[in-house]
Amino acid sequence: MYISSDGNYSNVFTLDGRSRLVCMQLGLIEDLIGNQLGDNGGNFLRLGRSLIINTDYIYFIDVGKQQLILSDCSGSWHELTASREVLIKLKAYLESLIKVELNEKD
Amino acid sequence: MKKIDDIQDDELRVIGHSITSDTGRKSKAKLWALCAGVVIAVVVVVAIILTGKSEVGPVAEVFDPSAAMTPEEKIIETPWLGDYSDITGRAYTEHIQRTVNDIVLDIYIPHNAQPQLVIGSPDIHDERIVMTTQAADIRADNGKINGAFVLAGEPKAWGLSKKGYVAIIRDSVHIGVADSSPLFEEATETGGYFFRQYALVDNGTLVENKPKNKAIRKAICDRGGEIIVVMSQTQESFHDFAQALEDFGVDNAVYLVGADSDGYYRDYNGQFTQIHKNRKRAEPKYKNYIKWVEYESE
Repeated sequence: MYISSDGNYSNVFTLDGRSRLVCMQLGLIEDLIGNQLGDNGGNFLRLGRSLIINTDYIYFIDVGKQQLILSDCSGSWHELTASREVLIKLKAYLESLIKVELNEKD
Repeated sequence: MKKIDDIQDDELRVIGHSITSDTGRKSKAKLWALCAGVVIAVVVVVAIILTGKSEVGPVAEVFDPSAAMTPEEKIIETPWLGDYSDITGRAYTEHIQRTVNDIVLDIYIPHNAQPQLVIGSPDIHDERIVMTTQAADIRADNGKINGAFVLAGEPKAWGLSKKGYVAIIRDSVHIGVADSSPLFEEATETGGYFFRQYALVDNGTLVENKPKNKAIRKAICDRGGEIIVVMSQTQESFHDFAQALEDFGVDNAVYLVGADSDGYYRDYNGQFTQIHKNRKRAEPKYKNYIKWVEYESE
């Protein structure tokens, strides 16, 4: 669902509620996702220095509280913190995707 | 590789695309710096062409032996999982994790230590012991060891209950499947060790077993000559666990007492970790373990 930075390590949080500490910086994981998934990696967003999220699980964005909630709507629930600026950009990005989808339908 | 510092906290980047979202003034400065760099590079290249001199020195070539080999010569080897350590180094156990067929496997790899069997719980305060794990099953009816068992050359139990075997002969671990193995006799003749358990993988092929229940599973495995102990994090059937070992590239594997059986290991820093805590109940007299012990210094 998401990967958070922990110094030179990263914590990978998976859908089954487990987390794994891996000996890789977030930048390396970002490269791995980009290299292996190519354009299909577009589901993943790097938010600032400390987060990579899977956009499939974005449940709620609260810019005021600087809160981002990820959920699969069946038990997995993660409340993350990010800067206001990045959350505003995230909302704008998601809105632009929705607009593109709507235009394609028309 | 992108460095962690190449993005600011107010930036958003779509992975797998070349799109970078609004990057602000700092990124504009980077863009100007990039343009300036390109201009300087163009000027330098033009100057080199005009003067007819090459600033580029001889390029060192990296020798790749595999490129010079014919396909027949290329040997496919199973890369080792653990550290490559030399025998003079300190004894420790490496712990890694791998996921195979959605089963998360804890893998323990002892280094620079000799395997031995022991009856009775190993001393957790003995820092020379870098790993222990239960080995042969105990019979529920009489509390004795199930199947043939040799302890430092002395036979303690006889019989064929399970076809898998582990023999430790001159510090070398042999894992296999046989009704009758000459390694039993060799263990008695050389002061070695021998026990029997369920076979899980035989020469790279899964071995089916009758029990169908699910439990935390544990096995001692030979994977390309590397002896490892593998434990499932979740409750698995024999079949699924053995299938995961086969798919993981294990050549031979024999089951070890699983579920919440006792065991512990010490890592490179000497950190003691109990794999499962001892249960507060009567210990069977013949409860037995494999332990990996630091080599005696001469």
